[in-house]
Amino acid sequence: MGKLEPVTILLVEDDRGDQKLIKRSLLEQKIANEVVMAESGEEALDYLSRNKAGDSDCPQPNLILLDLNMPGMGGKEFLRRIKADDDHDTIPVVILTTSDSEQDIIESYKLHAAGYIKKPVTLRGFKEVMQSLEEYWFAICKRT
Amino acid sequence: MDSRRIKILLVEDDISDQKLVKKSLAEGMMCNEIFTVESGEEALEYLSRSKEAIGENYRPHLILLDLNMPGMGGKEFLRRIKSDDELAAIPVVILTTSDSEQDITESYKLHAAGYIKKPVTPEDFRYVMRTLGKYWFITCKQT
Repeated sequence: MGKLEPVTILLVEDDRGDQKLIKRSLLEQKIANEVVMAESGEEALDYLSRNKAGDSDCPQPNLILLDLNMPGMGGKEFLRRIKADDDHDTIPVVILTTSDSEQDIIESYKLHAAGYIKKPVTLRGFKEVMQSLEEYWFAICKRT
Repeated sequence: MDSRRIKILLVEDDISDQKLVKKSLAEGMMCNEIFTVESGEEALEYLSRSKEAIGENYRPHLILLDLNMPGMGGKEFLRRIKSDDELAAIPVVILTTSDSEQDITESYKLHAAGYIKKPVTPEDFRYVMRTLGKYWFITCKQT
């Protein structure tokens, strides 16, 4: 299904170690052809506004993986903004964070997150998570 | 999550699809309770009745929603759920025969947490339900 089309994932994550781990799992398992990195909500919005302006180096992401706690604009504020943006509000945004506080979970879903994942602690755990993400979003779900 | 009873609300008017979904969910994952209603109105009614009967824990963990139903259809139901502060956090996954671009876009704009075209064979149905169950109840945290 979706696997035949090129897949771009926007990863919004400030931790370098997690960036590497996630990017590696995504690329090794051939989930995404391109993983775009942003280290804060501002950087992610900047990428999306370049996409909106038609910059061919900035393809529209098929999925956004979003950390909550980042310096500058955090995940929740970014989520609020993208879901209010008529050009990008159909992109599924999945939270990937170290927090599993009940409040963060509820707030994220109320802001229309399309999933809330607590970061695994091992590479194996990360790969399982990425596998499940891929099967759900790219094998069984239709996207815009 | 495993220790908790997983509740799913299925909003679907077609009886044979109801059966197929229930059977595949029961076989493919650890869903303990599936409630079936046949329209948006019935779903809203079910939610308000179970709130009265059960109290705080009345919310299903996931809603599987057909789009085309007599009476209130899926999109109007989705709009209402997502603008109700008590219910907005429940993930709603569309499960429908339509794969029109317009239905997909509108559903995501109304904050669907996934859009699945109903598979044709029972095997594919089982795969879809297993994958759905794995994503929402093993990979993801729920409210």
